[in-house]
Amino acid sequence: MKKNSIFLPLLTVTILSVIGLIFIFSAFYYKSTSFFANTFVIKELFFILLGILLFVFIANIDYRIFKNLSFILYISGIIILVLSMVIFRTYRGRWIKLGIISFQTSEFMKFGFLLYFAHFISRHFERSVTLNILEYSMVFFKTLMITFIPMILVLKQPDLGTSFVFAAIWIIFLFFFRATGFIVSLYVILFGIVIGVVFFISSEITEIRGLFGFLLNMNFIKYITLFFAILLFSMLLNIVIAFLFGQRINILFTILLIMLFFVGLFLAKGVISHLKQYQKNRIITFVNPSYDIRGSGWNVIQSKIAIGSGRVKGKGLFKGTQNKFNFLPERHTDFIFSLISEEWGFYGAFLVIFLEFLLLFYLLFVAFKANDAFGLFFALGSFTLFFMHIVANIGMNLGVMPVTGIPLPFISYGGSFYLISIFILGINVNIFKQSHEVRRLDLFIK
Amino acid sequence: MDSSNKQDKLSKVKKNLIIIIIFLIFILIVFIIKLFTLQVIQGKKYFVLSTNNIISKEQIRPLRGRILDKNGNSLVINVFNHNLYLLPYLKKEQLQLVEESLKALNISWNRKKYKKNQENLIKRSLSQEQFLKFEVNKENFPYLFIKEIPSRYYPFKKEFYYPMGYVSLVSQRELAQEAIKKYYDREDYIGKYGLEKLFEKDLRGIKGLKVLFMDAKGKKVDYSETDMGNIALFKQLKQQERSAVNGKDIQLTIDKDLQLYNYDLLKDFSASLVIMNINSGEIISYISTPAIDPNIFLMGISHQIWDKISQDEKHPLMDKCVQNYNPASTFKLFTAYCGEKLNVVKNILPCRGVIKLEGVEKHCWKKTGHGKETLDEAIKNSCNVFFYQLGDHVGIDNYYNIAKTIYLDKKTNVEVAGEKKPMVPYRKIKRDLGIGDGTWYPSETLDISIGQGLIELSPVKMAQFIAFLASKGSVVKPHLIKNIGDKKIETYKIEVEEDTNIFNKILSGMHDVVNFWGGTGWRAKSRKVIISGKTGTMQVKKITKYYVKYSPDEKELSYKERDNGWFVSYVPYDEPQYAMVLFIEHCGSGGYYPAIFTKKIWEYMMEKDYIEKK
Repeated sequence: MKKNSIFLPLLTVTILSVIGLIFIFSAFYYKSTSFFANTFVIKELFFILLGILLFVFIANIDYRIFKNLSFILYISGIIILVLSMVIFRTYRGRWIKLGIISFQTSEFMKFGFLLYFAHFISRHFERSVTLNILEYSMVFFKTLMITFIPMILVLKQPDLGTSFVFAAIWIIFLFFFRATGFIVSLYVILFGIVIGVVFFISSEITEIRGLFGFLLNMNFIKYITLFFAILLFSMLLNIVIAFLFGQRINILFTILLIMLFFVGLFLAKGVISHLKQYQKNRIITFVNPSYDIRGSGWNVIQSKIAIGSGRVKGKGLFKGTQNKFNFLPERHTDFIFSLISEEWGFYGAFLVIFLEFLLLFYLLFVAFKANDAFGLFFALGSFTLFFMHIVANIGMNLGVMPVTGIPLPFISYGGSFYLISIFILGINVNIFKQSHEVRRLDLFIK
Repeated sequence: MDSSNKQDKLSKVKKNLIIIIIFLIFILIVFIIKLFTLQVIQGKKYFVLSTNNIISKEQIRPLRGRILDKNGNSLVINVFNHNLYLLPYLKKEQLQLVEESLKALNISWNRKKYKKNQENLIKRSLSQEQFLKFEVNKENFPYLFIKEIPSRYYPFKKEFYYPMGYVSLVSQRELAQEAIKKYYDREDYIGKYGLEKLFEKDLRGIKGLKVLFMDAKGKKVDYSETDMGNIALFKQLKQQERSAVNGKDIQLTIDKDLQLYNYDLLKDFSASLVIMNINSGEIISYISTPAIDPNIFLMGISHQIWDKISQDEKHPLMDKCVQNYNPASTFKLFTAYCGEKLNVVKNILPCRGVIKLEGVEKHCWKKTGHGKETLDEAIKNSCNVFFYQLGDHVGIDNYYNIAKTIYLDKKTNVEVAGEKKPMVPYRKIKRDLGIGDGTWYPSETLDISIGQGLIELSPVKMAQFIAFLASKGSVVKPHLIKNIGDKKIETYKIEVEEDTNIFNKILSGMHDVVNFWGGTGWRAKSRKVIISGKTGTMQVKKITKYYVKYSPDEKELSYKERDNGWFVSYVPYDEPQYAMVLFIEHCGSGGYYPAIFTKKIWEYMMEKDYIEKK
């Protein structure tokens, strides 16, 4: 059991990396038809091989030693960010070049931030309920500082997508730091509002309402239908969760949560419908400053055409016309999911979504089994980081989310993010490994 | 204890993970539904969109069919317009560059006019100088390119405006029609008038289609040279290609040289002229003056020029060959034919200058009268009294019945748009037209007999009638088209009168009109060719007693008040070959200008061997 704990994530990562490699080659197929003559492919292959070795290595290091390293990594991350903006003014400070190695500064920051923040919050975790309002405020203020210093630096680059990742981790950590019934409800409503705003923005950009247009423009009969659908969904969910985690949840509680989520959604709709058009435009351009380069939503429309035209079986590898005729922008990084969907069809796209979500479920499982507070929060933070990347990227490709330049983990081209992802996942594997025996006992004791 | 407390707290917190799991499943479901919708439910739609993305269908415009004269000379020239275009999807700085470079071509263009999603037409039909400047320094004009669009040029200008007509760019209003939208676009020319319009479908040809592959930046991609993957799909798309089929040439029956000569002769008048082959019905000259230079319509025409043309008192926009006019004295030929047919000529009393018929006193143009006349003498003299009597004997019903037997009441269906149906009177015509109380009085038949009142014929119809007389009984179809492509045009020739003797007196009368001493058409007498004809003068201003008394000189009258003159004729006398109808508005007597011009034209035709000599 212990030996096999690395098997599932390693397999998933390997499959995803190979798929990524194939499609990075496909994206540049017209430039050089030989696999090994392609510099992008060679670089990515190098990172994959290096990454898998590192993965096995890190998975066998005790994750607790990162606690002590975390502050140094965090501080050096900030120093690198500042340096890159002041001294190395290359590519708006996003990249630093050291000889032949160049890396993305914000990726390194993600890692340092995640480690240090998880360490910091876990130190205060035990006392979290007993804290008085003044002490709680102090902790809150410190987390604010930890989050907002790198976030603002990254925003300056400007990289809105990555800064959202920091914010998301901060929100999740605070939620788990002191999760009372009131805070949970508040969070669920806020989440509804965020989703509502996000879907509003994406529908404004793509001019296609889709699923959320349906939700936002309902009549009474549809509300009743939705209510019973939620009831049914909750019951099924209850069974699934009881089966997977051995925990029973209250159906009424689930329904309440989902209803609260919709309350948030409709609140967002209410607020948005009162905004003037220029105010809406301001939000859209804030989220996505480059969305109107070639008419509204050209990128998104082309991405949707690529996905849709793949149909069930796909057009075949290297045969995607959206790919070959340059209709897909950034198809080796941000829009690689569309490329896979075009050439491998529903099967390929479903496989990618399945594997990526398998990783997310795995990370939640790690959090669920974590032995100590640091392990729990690190796994949670890792989950949030990957969740933001996967949901924002695939959502953008599918045209249900605004376009932010966020890569798809283990598939998109890019060495820095790939190695950082490997590091994070490796540490999680180790957390999972060490938790094993204790968790088992724990369950039976309860 | 401390450890288990910690674990207790951890597992409490972990319960909240369920909320996250719920939302994760929720989002997973949303993604799968969305993916399924895009790829499985709407897959076909998006597949079509993706193929539409990469192909750009470029139409190949065929050459418009030429219009040739009788001998194969081309009356039109197919030229190419060099239209200047600008690429789509340009940025601000690029547009600024374009704006600057256009100044070198003397083209003022504002980048605010730029439309992102399409090729922008900057200037239609570059001048030769601009075109050369562009071609030589292509690199100085980035993002601009030239397309060759076939167009027309009419080298003879006004001479062939009738009946050829003109082409012009398809207008926005025309493009709104579904039938036109199917074939034409904004760069296409379409026949707007005349034969160009009437035979548009034959002339325009069939457009070809070229399938090009283009990448997102509008760059052309040749799939056969680069390895672009899905060759099977490309080949399938390529199958839509078609080559263009040029329009059919149309050969006219008109003779170019004769047309030029005739137009030059008549250009200062408001005249119409039809010269027709009596046996075949081929019209070898078809003129309506003044005409318009069709080249001015090619690019569209300004309001000022249009107003000037349409307000001209000589009506250049009217094809006078197919308008209806009172035939005046030329109609006496038909009255004569009716008289001969009914055999009532022998009952005619001598002309005493005035006669009372049906209770109305009618005058002859010669106050002293012509005395006793035979039919041919009456035609020669154009004696009103004689024909009043003859008309009275014939009667309105017989007029109509005989007109019907020789198809006088039918259109000739010459290949010209807007031909008027001849107005031939019948007993109930006034009721049908709503004139007066609707009853036909016998005195009105008298007016008809000398070609006045409710009788109107067009010059083309008149030419058909003259051919009928000259050929002694055959009605031919006057036509302008010899063949379309390789296809011969169908015509008709109907023998309607078997008794050729009926025509002898009429034809000898027509001969005498020109050649006999005292004939009304004496000015047309020629030594080179024996012309037979008949004059006609159509009063525009009502004759009052004052005018009869003093008969003032025509030139004292204003242009609009002068008489319209007819001269109908055919040559040669013994074996007629050609019939000619010349009608000049406001020229005075038919015996003057029309007769003189008729003589000139026949002599020219004789000299140039149009008429076969025996």
